[in-house]
This record gives sequence, C-alpha cells and structure tokens, in this order.
Amino acid sequence: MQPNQFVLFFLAVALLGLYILGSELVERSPRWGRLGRNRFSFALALGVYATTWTLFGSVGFAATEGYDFIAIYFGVTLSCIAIPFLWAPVAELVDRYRLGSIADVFAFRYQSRTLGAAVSIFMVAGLLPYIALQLRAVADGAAILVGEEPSETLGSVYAVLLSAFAVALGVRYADGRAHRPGLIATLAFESIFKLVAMLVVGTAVLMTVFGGIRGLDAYLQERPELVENMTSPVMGDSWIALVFVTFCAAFLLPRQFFVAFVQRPGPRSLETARWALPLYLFAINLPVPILYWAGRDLATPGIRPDVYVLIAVQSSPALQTLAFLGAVSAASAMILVSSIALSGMVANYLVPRFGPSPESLLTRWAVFRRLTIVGVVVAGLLIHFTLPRTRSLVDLGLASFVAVTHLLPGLLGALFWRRATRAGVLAGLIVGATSWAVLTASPLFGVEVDVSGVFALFGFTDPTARGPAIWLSLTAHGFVFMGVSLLTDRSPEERNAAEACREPRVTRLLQVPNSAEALQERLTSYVGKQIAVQEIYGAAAAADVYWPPRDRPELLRLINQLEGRLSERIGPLAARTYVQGGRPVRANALAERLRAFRELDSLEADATQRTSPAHAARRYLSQLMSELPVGVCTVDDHEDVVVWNAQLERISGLNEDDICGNPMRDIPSPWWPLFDELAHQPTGSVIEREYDLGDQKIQLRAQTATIPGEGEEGRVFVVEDVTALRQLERHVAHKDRLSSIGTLASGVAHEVGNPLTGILMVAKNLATDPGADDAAERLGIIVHEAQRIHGIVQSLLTFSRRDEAPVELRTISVTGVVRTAAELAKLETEGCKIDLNLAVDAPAMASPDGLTQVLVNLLNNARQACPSGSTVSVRTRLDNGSIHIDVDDEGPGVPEELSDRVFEPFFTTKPDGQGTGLGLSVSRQIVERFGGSLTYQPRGSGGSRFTITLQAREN
Amino acid sequence: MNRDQERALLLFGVAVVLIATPVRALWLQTWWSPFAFWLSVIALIALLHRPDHAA
Repeated sequence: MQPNQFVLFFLAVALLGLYILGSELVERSPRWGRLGRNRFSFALALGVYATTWTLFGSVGFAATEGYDFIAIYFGVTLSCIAIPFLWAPVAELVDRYRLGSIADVFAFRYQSRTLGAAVSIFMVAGLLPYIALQLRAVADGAAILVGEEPSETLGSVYAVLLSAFAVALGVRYADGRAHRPGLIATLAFESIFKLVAMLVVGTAVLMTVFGGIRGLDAYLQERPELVENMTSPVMGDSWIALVFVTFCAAFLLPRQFFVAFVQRPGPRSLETARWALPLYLFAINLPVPILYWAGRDLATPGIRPDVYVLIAVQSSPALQTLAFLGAVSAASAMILVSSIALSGMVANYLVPRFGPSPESLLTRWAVFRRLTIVGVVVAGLLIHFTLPRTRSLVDLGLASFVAVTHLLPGLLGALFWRRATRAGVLAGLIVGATSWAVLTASPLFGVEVDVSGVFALFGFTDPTARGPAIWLSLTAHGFVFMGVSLLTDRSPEERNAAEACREPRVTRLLQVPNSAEALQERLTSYVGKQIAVQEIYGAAAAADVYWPPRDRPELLRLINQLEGRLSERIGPLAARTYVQGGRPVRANALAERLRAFRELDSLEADATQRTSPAHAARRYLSQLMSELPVGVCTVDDHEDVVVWNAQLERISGLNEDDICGNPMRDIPSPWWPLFDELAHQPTGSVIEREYDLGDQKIQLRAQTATIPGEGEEGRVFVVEDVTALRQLERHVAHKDRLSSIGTLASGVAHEVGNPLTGILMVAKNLATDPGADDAAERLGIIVHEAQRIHGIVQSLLTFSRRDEAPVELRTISVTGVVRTAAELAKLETEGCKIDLNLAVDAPAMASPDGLTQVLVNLLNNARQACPSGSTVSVRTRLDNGSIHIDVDDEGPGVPEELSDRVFEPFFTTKPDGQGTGLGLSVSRQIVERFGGSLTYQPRGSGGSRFTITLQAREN
Repeated sequence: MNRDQERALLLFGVAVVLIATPVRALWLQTWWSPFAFWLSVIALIALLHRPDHAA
C-alpha cells in the first residue's frame, strides 16, 4: 500500500503554507513575535544544518561508511565547543558593523569589493550542488512513495514547489534586515517537525521491525559483522577530514552564518546554542543506524540506501508520508535560508559591478535580490537535472562543505592576524577554489582528473579517500595566503579595518559630511537625486530628525541611521562609501551630541546666561548625575547610550567618551549582557551578578526603570559595585559564627561542668567507701546529675538540628493544645495558678507535640518566675489572620538591658543549676519552623509577656 | 581571554583528542557506545557552560 500521490502533494503544500502563515503571524503579532526572539528558538533554528542529508542521506552514508556519518555532527559539536573563542568574535564583528554575510566580513576586513565578489561567486558555485541535493532527495523520495522510478517530471513538480516556497517566503525577508523573528520561529518549528518525524519513524521501526531494544540487540548479536561494518570505518582516513570540514561548515555555510550571526536575537543566544544544537543533532541522528539496518533487510536490490528511511516503514503509508514530509520540510528550510543568504552576497557584490550605473542601484537592488533568490533555486534545479544519478547525497553535500572550508584561513586572518592582506586572501582563495573545482567538484560531473601522482608525493596512497584532497588543497591555500600576505603591504584602509576587527571597542574620529547639503550631495553623486532624497528622508524619519538637521549631533545621528539602513541593503562597504567616503568608521552621534551639549553649557556659562535659573538647574543636575555614588547609564528610545556617569566609569574602567552615543549592544561584556538582561525585566527589577573580569571578580547589583517618552521609551540602569559589601557581609557572618561557637562552648562547659563535678565527687566517695549505707542515695544523685547532663545534650541537639529534621505539620486546634500544655505544666510544679482565657480559637498549621513543648516551657518559666499566690495567664486572640497566644506572668520581668538577649542560647536569669538557658532559644526555633514567631515584651504592670504567633487557617 | 573561553578551549582540546586521534577506538566498542560518548560530550559542554555573567 502506498500513499496517494495527490494527497502527498497536497500535504506538502499544506505544510509549506503553514510555515508561511506562521511566519506572518510571528512577524505581525508582538505576542507571537516573542517566539522568534527566544534563545531556544534560535538554537532550534540553527538546526537548519540538518537537511535531507540528515533525514535520508545519513542512512545512505551509514550503509557505505558506517559511523563515519556521525563525523558530520561531531564536527558541529566541536564547533559548538569553540563558540566562546571562535563564533563569539565573529558575532561581535557582525553586530558592530552590521555585516550581513561572510562575504561582507571579507570585504570589510580586507577593504575589497573584489574579495567580496570572489567569496560570493565561490559560495554560489559551492552551494549549488547542495541545493541540488535537497531537490534530488525530495524527488527520489516522492518517486519511491508513488512506486515509480525516479523521474524528472515528478522531481520537477516538487522542485518547483520548493522553489515557489523559497521565493514566496524568501522575498518576505529579502531586505536582509537582521533579527527577523518570523524567520527564526519558522526555522525553529521546521526543526521540531523534522525531529519529531525522525523520532516517530525511528521508534516505529524499532518496535515493529526489531521488537524493541532487546530485539535489536539480539538481531545484532546474531550478525556481529553489521556492528563491525559500522564502527571500523571510524578508524579510517576519512574520519578526521569529515570532522574538520563539518567543524567549519557549522558556522561558515552561508545559511549557518546567516542564522547564527545575522539573525542572532540577543547576546546570550549563542550560549544556549552551545549545548542545545549538539543535543538536537544527537536526537535527530539516534534513529539512523536503526533505519539503516531495517532498510537493509527490507530493500530490494537496486534501491539506493539514501531512501532506506522510506523502505524501513514501507508497511505504513502514514509513517512513509511523515518521513517524506520531514524531508520536504528540511529541504524547504535549507533552500529558503541558503537562497536568502546567497542573494544578499550576489546583490551586494555582483550587482554594482555588472550594473549599468550606480544611479539605479537602490531601485534595482530590491528587485535584483528577489530575482537572485529565484535564480539560485533555478540553478540548483539545473544542477539537479545535470548531475549523474550515481552520485550519492553525501557526495553532493560534501562538495559544498569542502568549499566553505576554504573560507576559514581568511576568516581567521580577519579575526586574529593583523598582517593578513587582501592580496594574500585573494591568492589563497583562488588556489583553494581551483583545487576544489579540480579535486572535488569536477568528479561530480564525471570529469575525473588523475592526481594520484601528486597524492603519492605526499604519502597518500589511497586517492579515493576524502582526506588527501581536503588536506592538500587547504595546505596549499594556507601557504599561499600567508606567503602572499607577508610579501605584500596593507593599505591604510586595511590597517584601519584590521584594527577595528581586532579591537571592537575602538571608535574613531569621523570623516563625515559637515552639512546636510554635503551629505545629500555625496549620496546624490552615487545614486541620483531622487533616491538620495528618498533615502535621507527615510533615515531622518527613523532617527527622529527633522530635515534639515538643526546641528551637528542631529546630522551625525542621521548619518549613523542612513549608513545602517544602506548597509543592511547594499553591504557595509558600499554604504560607507556612499555616506562617509569609504572609511571604516562608525558615526558616534550621541557622543557628539553630549560633547556639543557640554560645549554649549560652557559657552552659556561664559556668557550672559551664567546666572539663568535654567542654566543653574542644568548644571546642578549634571553635577548630581556625575557625582552620584552609584553607576548610572541611560539609553534613549533607539537604545543608544546617552549617559555613562563618573561612578560607572570607575566601576567599569570604560570611558564615557567611548561609550556615549554608541548603541547599547556595543558596550563591551559584561555590561551589555547585564543591561540586555535587565532590559527584559519589568521596571524596578533588581538583579545581582558576579563577573569574572580575568584578574578580579566583581559583584554588581543592578536595577532598571523606563524613562517615559512620547513614543518609545528609554531606560535608565543603576549599577552598584557591591563586591566590598558582600565581602564584608561574608566576613561578619564568619565572625558571627565563630562568636556563636564560642558562646556555645562556654555555655556547654559551664552547664555540663557543674553536674559533672557533683558526679565526680559522689563517685569518688563511693569508690573509697563502696559499702556505705547511703550508697543507693549517692547513686541516685549520680543518676540525677547524669540525667541533667543528658537533658542539656538533648537540648543542644534540638538546637543544632533545627534546620535539618523535617517537621510534620498538621492543622491543630490552638486552644486544645494550650489546655493540654497547661495540664502538663501543672504536673511539674505547684504554686502559681494558671488562668486560661481561651475565648478565641482558630485552626493553625503546627506540630502539636512541638507546640505543646513550647507552651510547657513558657508556662514552667512563668510559674518559676512569679511569686507565690500570683497567676500565670494564657490568652488567645485573633488579629489580621494570625492567632496569638500570650503567656503572661507577674514576676519581676527581665531587666531592660537584658531583654534583647532572652532568646540567646545559654542565656538565663535563673540561679546556677536551675536552667540551661536553652529553653527559650529552642522554643523560638520550634515556632519558627511552623512559620510563626515567639516574641518577648515586658508588661507595663511588671512581669513578662511571651507571645506565640501562628498563621491561622481558614476553616 | 576570559574564564569561559579558557574552559571552552580546554574542553575543545580534550574533545579533539578523544574524537580525532586513535583514542577514539575507546568509544567504538558497541553499536550504541558512539552515541553514549556523544551524549557525554554534550553533557560536559552543558556542565562547563558558565558564562561570566552567570552568578
């Protein structure tokens, strides 16, 4: 039984339509929009790494090369471990300079459009086989499901469907803007769908084909060669090469780069992805060996292992459909993101070069980028039709992975090697691309170049292994890159850019137009008057600047906005050229504004307005802000820093001039993460964090509030360095503990010492005269004193275990417990009368035994303190939902100077030998374990009042 | 280089030794052991994940 092909097609269309609708919902609705800004959604979106290669190709890979298929994901896992020292600097660079692709990074760092274009062309060429892979996998899968041989007609139908989806959703995001929640949410949902599909299919096969894990174990024990075939390839030559190329692919593949860096929703997103992405890939790969073994047994000869997933569930059309939809989903997401990422590169670096004139650039740019998306998909389709069918999915995918590996030397140079030059990178890239074309790409099209002689020179005996081609081409690339870099000089622009990449905190002097007219004139010279005016007005509206800008700060703010907008659309180099003449600098508009404000202030002070009330008030507020003993940072509605006061300069070591005017996200760690976390908290929220600044640890307490505005709101962040305070608290707590131990020890020595002396004396007497008549009486004394010591020890244990033993609380009647305690107290001593006034009763949560113990203790204390003939009264009262039990006596009370110490352990006003001083402290601890309190108050008429307060429960 | 980066670098070194050297024979004993090893590495990443601003 097979699924109906029309139903299958309808379901595929419905799934992709759902993705489009979901993406629109997330983009339009603030509530759903959160889904796209969530760290876990981001980590799941990175799961776009898992394509049809994972769903279908991995099983095919496992069939031929065993567990080598896991190398494709072990490389990603290694790459995720490297996030803090490899991905994070790239992310910072992309954020700071609003770069949109790996080509932007190369073009920016090496100040070369040619290099950007070279990277773009290489990436398009390298990625097309990968897109073809997706189309082939879906087409072959559909053919299997409808019982046909893989046909171009059927493949075309699905290829057109996937292309239509990529174009429909791709043009929605073709503006290249960063942080699109709709895209992230769609990718996250798509990742979940294909994971669920794999797990459901895998579990079903495990249960139905093998009868569960035990059945699978038995199956493999009977066929040990299957396990051997899986594990032995891992010790072969290809393993390390596969791990390496996928290590690079995890963040250098255009789609991975686009999601990981351009679409990154916040600074902490990558931290979550460090473990979440490998975990996701682990989960989606778990079923692969099971599906392979099942497919192997069920497949008829001639069936390609790439479709074993569908063969393994051939008895269930529903599961086949689910597996196929998982592949459709994976393919659609991959093609979508790849085409958006590639279209950005092509539009930024190939359009101006081949365009008729720069005037029409901006008009054509949007159209061209949309067309590029279509072009990329169609090119992938052509490759799909052209490639020999003998090539497996893995061959096609690996060709793309090897291509992106050649971006690593240039990227490492951009991040860590100032001496790297554009000539070096270009030469290395040419060598890399050529070797890739000869060794990796041409065999895909049936063009074999015999390089076994070259391999033999370097000791590689197996020319078919994957390692030699990769290692040799990369080594050649690396040597050429370094050699040419060392032999060539960097231009001044390159030096500037290298500094900017190495030290992101650097902000530079601006070389910007000094008037609105100059700005308009410069932009007009590139794009024509109409578009220049249109762009400037758009930027002015976004920056809240009325045209023409009133002063230089407003002009700088406008320039910053304009450059950002253009950078997102035509790339950072072109934008910078159009606005600032090509210098790699950032406009620091608000810093300029603050400086201008200070200058204005100073001018006013020198002029006639020195004594004006407004001036005096402004100076007063300015000084107040500067001298506040807490750090203050404010950001405006655009999240640009406005105030960075003197105390914050001292705490952070960051100069106000370097921070003010920059976007908040540009503040170096740990400040931006701290503020970003706070910004997502409600007003008044307080957080305290400890940071490791390398040579010292710092404890910061920070809170935030919104600054109301007419539209969007700004924020103020208040930061205190509480490192010294917390150290002092720890010191005091330590001293306090030592002091308590001292008090406790002296109390124990005193209380135990007295009875012990008595025991010793009586025992000595007995030893000298064992037959004395009063021996029994003396032994009784020993027993009595020993019981006293036992009592002290028990009290101590109760005191010390107050937080350890669990308390069994239950609802009790307070008056009932009081009556019981009074009866017990009467048994102990005679004398004072106990008067009960229990008019008010309420149930409370307590342990009846514990409460009885407390009450007996209080009553005994009271009866011992009060003079003969007087009364101890117990009264219950209800107040604000709490029930109070007052125990009053008519004794002398506690001297005022000692009243603070009544609950201290071993404090007692009783004569020596009559009390341990632990009763009240133990009683208070017992009551506190009920969630209540025990307090002491002197009575106005003399005597004492101890009050137990418990939370009353409703009946 | 901050503490988090140092920890990551150390883990990276250990993982490279375990994954890319002949030591990998250790986790190739049974059909499920590669997955167990993989999960252990992920658990280690999550356990050692202590960014600077986490208290």
